[in-house]
Amino acid sequence: MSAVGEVVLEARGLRKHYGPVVAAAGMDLQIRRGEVMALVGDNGAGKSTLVKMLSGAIRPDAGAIVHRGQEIHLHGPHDARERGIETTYQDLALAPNRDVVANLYLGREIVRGGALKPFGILDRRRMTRDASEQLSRLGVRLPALTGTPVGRMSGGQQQGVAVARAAAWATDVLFMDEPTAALGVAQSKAVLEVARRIALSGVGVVLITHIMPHVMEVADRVVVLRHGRKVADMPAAELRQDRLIALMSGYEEGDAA
Amino acid sequence: MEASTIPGASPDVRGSRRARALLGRVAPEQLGLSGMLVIACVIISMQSPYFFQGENFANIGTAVAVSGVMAAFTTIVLIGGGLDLSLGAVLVFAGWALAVALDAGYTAEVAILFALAAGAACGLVNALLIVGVGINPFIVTIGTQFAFRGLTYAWSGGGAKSTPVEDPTIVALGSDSLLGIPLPVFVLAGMFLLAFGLLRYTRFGSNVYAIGGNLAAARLSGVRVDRTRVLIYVLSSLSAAVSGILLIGISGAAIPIAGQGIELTVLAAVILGGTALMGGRGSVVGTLLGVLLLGVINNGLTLLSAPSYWQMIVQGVALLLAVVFDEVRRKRKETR
Repeated sequence: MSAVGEVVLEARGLRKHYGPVVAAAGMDLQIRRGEVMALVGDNGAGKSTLVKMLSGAIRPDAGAIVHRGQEIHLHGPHDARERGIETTYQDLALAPNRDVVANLYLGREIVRGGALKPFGILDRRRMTRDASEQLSRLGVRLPALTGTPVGRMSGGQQQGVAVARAAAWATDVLFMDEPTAALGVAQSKAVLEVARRIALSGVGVVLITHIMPHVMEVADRVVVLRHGRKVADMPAAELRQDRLIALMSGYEEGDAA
Repeated sequence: MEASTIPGASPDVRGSRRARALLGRVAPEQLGLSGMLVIACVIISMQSPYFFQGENFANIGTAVAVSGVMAAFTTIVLIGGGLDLSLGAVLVFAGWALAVALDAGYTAEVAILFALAAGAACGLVNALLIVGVGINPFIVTIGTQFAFRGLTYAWSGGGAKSTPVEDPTIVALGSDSLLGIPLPVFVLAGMFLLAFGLLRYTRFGSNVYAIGGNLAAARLSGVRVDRTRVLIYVLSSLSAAVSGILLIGISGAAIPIAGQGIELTVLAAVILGGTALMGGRGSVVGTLLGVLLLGVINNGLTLLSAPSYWQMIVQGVALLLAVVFDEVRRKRKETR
């Protein structure tokens, strides 16, 4: 893993229009390894649009995405994933009818090698073993790895699955879209701890959230968006909560570094 | 993140949990269905001494083979959140392709390959419209149902006339037996095993369940959704082509008007077997039980010399009952 603090993913002037609506009006963003960045802003500020562009879910109309110093074009989430850029979505993006192991390996199933390889035969034993290791490393606890559909688990447990899946593959960047939106206090704390742990392993973590105490608790850096633009970008330590809210709602103009 | 148990505590606990999970997956729906199958057998055998004879079982097997082959793969289509109502039309289209190839002097093997290719082409047309253009599969396959059957009528000279098929290999495939078991039953068993293996042991099967459960999530997770869905419809049409070949072997003729409405018989068996109409849930084992149950009931009605309209009534009622059960199961799941 490369040096902590190195810029691993960068947005340069990303723009996105939906008809006459400007969702992103030329956004710049630098994501650094080992850092938890909080991306905040009011509804419609463009947080989701920015993250979706950087994770390959939508294509920008203009601007560039730079990964490890090279300009890249993402042709879908699959593309971003192959570069170690992962996302957990607000609506979880789990298959509710599948068990934990199937969800952790969704879209990336381990198949047996050798002569059987072209048939795509699943190596369930290995997936179960690896999943179990991965979950305990992240400190995520779940009632059952196999046989129980995740749709029957609690919101916190489902979030745990979603985070664990993204974390398992994120080598460069992890975007977390409102990971604590539907969670209680203890569960939120657990998810934030996991986010911190992932950052410590040298990944750039970007946390989208509405919940200001969570921003203050976990973020190293705070980026504020408003009306599709970046209005502030500063170390979390220099930021007081009242100023943050003023920036988000437009009472104060920050200096976008 | 609530702690109730730690994942995979000890291999012993895990083993018993796996056994329970497996039982839990099989138990409720399929036990009920097996019970109904046994009850149907008991009632019919009380009414007709002829029922419990090997020859009659061979009859049932041959009778369900044609729709059963398609039911195995329709299970995959439904689990993946799709629908294929063009099966009957693909069946005769591929069947006519077989007859044409044989007529042109090709060997049975080449003719079979040609019929399968014709079926696969139909599947690609369905997939192009459903996956490529993004039209509802219900609409698409009703449209292609008319189009494929119309093409078959045109290909057969416009009069929808049947043509006898006397190729010994094809006729043997439909009427010969091995160890007292008709060959169509071997084909049926092979196709069920194939569908079962695909769903349970392969990446394709795992992705089919995921797509049927939450298509958007599967796509965001990096599942090759489009590729998987194309394969689903091609496999479905291929199964219809296999059924078309079997039907010609069994009946000794290529009949352009055959198989009308057979997709509904197939759907009845699949839904009766516990596969969700809305996707995401179901099993090939359940479908096999559904196929056998309908087959036994039809056979019973024949043995009891009930007028043939009774078979239609029973099939219609069975389909409706199956959909009602499906709805009840869905509601119960939602409220849990």
